[in-house]
Amino acid sequence: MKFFNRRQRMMIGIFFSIAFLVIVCVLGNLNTEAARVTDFSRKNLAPCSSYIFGTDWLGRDMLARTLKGLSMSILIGVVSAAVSAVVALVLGIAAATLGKTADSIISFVIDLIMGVPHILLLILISVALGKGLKGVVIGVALTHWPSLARLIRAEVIQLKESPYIQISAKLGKSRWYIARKHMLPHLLPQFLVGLVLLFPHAILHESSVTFLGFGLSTEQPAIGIILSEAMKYLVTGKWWLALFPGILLVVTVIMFYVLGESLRKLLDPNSVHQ
Amino acid sequence: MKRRWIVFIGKNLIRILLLTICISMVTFALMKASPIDPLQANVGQAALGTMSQEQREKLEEYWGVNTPPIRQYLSWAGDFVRGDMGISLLYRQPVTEVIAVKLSNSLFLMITAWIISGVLGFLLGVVSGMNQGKFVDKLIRGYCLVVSSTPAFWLALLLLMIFSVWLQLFPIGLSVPIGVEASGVTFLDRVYHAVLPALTLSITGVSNIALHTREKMIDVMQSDYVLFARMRGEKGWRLFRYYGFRNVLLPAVTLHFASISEIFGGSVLVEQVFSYPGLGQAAVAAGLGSDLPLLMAITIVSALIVFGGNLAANLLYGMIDPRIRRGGAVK
Amino acid sequence: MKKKIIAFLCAFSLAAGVFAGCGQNQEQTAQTSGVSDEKVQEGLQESTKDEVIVTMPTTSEPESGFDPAYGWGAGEHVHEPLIQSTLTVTNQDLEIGLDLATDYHVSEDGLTWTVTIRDDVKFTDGEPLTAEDVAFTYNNCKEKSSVNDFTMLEEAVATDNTTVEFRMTRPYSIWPYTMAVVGIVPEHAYDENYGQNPIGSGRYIMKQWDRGQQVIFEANPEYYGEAPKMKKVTVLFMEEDAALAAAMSGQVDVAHTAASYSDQQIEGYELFRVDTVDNRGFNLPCVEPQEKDGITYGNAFTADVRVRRAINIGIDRQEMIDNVLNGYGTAAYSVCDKMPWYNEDCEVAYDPEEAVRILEEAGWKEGSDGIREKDGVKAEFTLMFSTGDSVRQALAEDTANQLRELGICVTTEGVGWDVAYDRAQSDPLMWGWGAHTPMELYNIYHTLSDSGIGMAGYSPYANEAVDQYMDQALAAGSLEESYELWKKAQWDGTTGITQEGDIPWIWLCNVDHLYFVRDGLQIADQKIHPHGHGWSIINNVDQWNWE
Repeated sequence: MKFFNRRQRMMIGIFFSIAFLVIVCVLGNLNTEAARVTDFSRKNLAPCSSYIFGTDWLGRDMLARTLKGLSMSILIGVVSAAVSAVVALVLGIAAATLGKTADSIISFVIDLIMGVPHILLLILISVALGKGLKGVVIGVALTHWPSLARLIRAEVIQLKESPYIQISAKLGKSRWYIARKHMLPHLLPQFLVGLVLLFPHAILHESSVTFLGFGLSTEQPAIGIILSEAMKYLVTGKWWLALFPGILLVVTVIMFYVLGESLRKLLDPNSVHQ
Repeated sequence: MKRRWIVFIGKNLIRILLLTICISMVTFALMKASPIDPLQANVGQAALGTMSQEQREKLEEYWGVNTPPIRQYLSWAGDFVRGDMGISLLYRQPVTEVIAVKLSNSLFLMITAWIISGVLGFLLGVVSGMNQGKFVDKLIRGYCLVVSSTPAFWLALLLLMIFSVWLQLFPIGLSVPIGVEASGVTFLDRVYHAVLPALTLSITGVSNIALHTREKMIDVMQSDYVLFARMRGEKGWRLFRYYGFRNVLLPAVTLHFASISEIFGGSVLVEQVFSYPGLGQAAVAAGLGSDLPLLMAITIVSALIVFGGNLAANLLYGMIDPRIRRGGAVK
Repeated sequence: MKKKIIAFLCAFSLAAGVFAGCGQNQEQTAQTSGVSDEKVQEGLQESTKDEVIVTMPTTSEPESGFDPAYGWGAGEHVHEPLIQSTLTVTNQDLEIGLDLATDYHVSEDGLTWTVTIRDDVKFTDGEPLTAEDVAFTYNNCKEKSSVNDFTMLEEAVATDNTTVEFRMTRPYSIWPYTMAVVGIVPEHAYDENYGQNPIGSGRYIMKQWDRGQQVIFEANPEYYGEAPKMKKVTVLFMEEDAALAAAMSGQVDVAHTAASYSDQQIEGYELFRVDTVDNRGFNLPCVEPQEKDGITYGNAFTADVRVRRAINIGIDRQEMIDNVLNGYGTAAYSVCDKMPWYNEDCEVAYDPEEAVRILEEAGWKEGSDGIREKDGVKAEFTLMFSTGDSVRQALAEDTANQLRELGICVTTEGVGWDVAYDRAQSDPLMWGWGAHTPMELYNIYHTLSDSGIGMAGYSPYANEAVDQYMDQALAAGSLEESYELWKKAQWDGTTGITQEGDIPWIWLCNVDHLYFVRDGLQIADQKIHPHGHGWSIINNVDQWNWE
């Protein structure tokens, strides 16, 4: 364990997690066709050498389905979390800089969104948009920004109070200059880490909503759909339908956490010398 | 002193009231924006036709196209305040009745899970924090990472697979045994059917509180007074009992009150897997069946529960934070 | 780094634990269930020889209660109402027998049905059942029911204590089939809560109803007919997987199940299959696309009748049944296979070469990607299925696989019922039909002049000759006469809805209704079940017995 210093270990963590996620996405998209093909001559097969994840009741290859489903989940999660993070950035900065009224309005909205359990809010938004992919993406994007926005707001307020910015302002630098030269470099790493740490949440929520039946329609190989279909066959002992896709989902989410945590430690100035 | 508390609570209550009103408006707007016409969706299942004329007129009054949305909202709100939440499209019963039954099932589940996950998370956090850097600490942190990466519904599937299908220790679903009259269901039956769902919720609910308590514990362990205590030779349980416990407990309880929303979210998923007839399952059914009156009521009830938790957290926070205890009841 | 490794170890050991568990899954299940089974069975057999517990899908629970006006027995799914008695009944061959009625006849012009009823029947509250109650029931249904069609009834009038006259707005020869499903309710005990506390004169009394869970029936001790052998019937509403679990743990006597579970062996139970007319098939819109009120009617590819013919003979129904239903089904060629009004000319043989020949002849030539095309139109369509219905999904997938062999590209898509009806006007949808009345032919194939584009309601199609035969069938003087006309509507030698005709719908299979039945329970002979895997099984629960 002591072959590498802490910084190098972080780099390795980042490399591995990114490599894993990229491989899943690439394999998933190479298997788009295989994930949908049905073949009744090979239905309900337990895991074996040619179908290591087994097959389902339509004879679909669960490995291809899982990879495709995961890559879709990753894509949906990344896109909607990114949108969410941008919303958080804008509103967080707005709350901190635009004065008291803006601040209290934005905190009120944050409280509003935090007041309804995420899943319930996602269901509501999905119903409002007539279900489907659109509902999931917009729902996740609209529900995940509050915590990050709070963080950014606190950070900006703290920065505003800090001496070097006060001095810079006294020296007659424009607000834009201060924001660009002093605030942004400080804020960017925070934002980046916050963004990455939104991904696992987004993916978990995407799969949950889809599992409940509010996401994509049932012929799509989304991970939530795979698992909700598996639920019907649990009682007949077809354990592989739920087990492998679930494990891969968990590993994917862990990878995002590892990525986020490694980034955080790497960007934390205090850890540079460790 | 006493007056300040009243002001503090009063301000919080007003905020909660405002938030709830806004939530009901937003929910209503979302529902009205939905392209899925609830009446249409239910006609499709040959269900609307089975409603009585009065029920249908009442519904049209609520959701009809003739009245402008604002008037609809006001009439809904007026009824709601008077305790009439309308008729559920799916269950053909007053929403109040549906919610009462489902909520009591869910509360049983959620409170159990909330307490277990709180206690368990707290203990793990304390153990982890007191042994920072050691194997136990790493194990617990690893556990928290895995658990927070695990979707509640999948964990529920796993437990169902292991304990119900394979070991046959627990029933597959429902909150009461099949074929038994409602009055014949004992408390033990209920507990027996709630074990697996509650276990799932408890396992997934642990991670947040454990990690948070761990951080606090580490802070405490590095504090001057613990250092002094250590110099005096205190260690282990005594050290924790007299120097750590009080300082770590209140923040943990506060956080746990504030995280009720997560337990609720988890219960939606878990109830679905265990076909446990609670509020979460009703929410999913209402969403899929576009049952507007029910979904609105569930949203508001859940928001009230979450705000109640937040209020409790704020009060506790006020109690431990000397600045708030002494004076300005500021947020 | 260590932390990560530990995290992986955790995940891995969790997975490994489950693995180890699942390897032994099968045998373990059999053992444990065997034990609990015996115990429960012993208990049941000693004390409850005349009780039975039956599961049904959750959708079978009557939302508005046991009121015929709101669809109980006479709604989307027809079955005998058990609690109430009916004027007529359908017998084993789905022809008409008598129950409350002692005689019925129709006037020359078909506009008046006169029915005489028994005078010795009492409701379970002790009041006698009179012609007034019958008239009240039908007038009430006409006024309130939007589930079932009563527009052909002008009014029902009791002319004396035992005679009731139905005055019709138009001739309706199949009225006796309606009379077989409408349960007679007592006028004196009828209010808006009737559905919750139904009183009738039927074989059973509804004892208890726990919404979302179960209904308990007890035998009516005053029943005028043969006394029910089963004294208590408990119906549990649950999904198929829960029903299977309930059977595995020995908690129920009859568990409804699906073909995908039919390979399960449950000790102490046997698989019981019932023939059905519960068919699955898809519509093929018969006109070129056109738009009206925001809905597209018609489909450029399926508008070609030769395409529809090629599809009809290009599908190997038996293979599909083996694939999707594990063999538990029969090939379907119409919406009413095996019914007295079924025309055997509907039947076709699987002939892929002929199908290809028809397509080639019609100018649908294979393109470079293996998909046929003609004048720039691709040989492709979207086949929808109701989302969440695994049987329909599997049928759609198998249809897609089979049609690809013919060079037709089919994409499947799961849709909700809120949009399915409108979209089916332009894209084929996997439907489920099957009822004990020829009205279904009318509903599917007869044009509706005042709705949509003036064609048949569920999928655009119009044929004047077919319309006329069905109109004549409804106006026929007797049922026998009407059967012949219903058959002619399907194929009269020159036109119709069969392979040689317009073939606007492709019928695939009748899905067997499957049940796990506890050893020793004798289920009485079943009539061919209609659509709906629910109440039909207990139509004759009064004649079941334990051995």
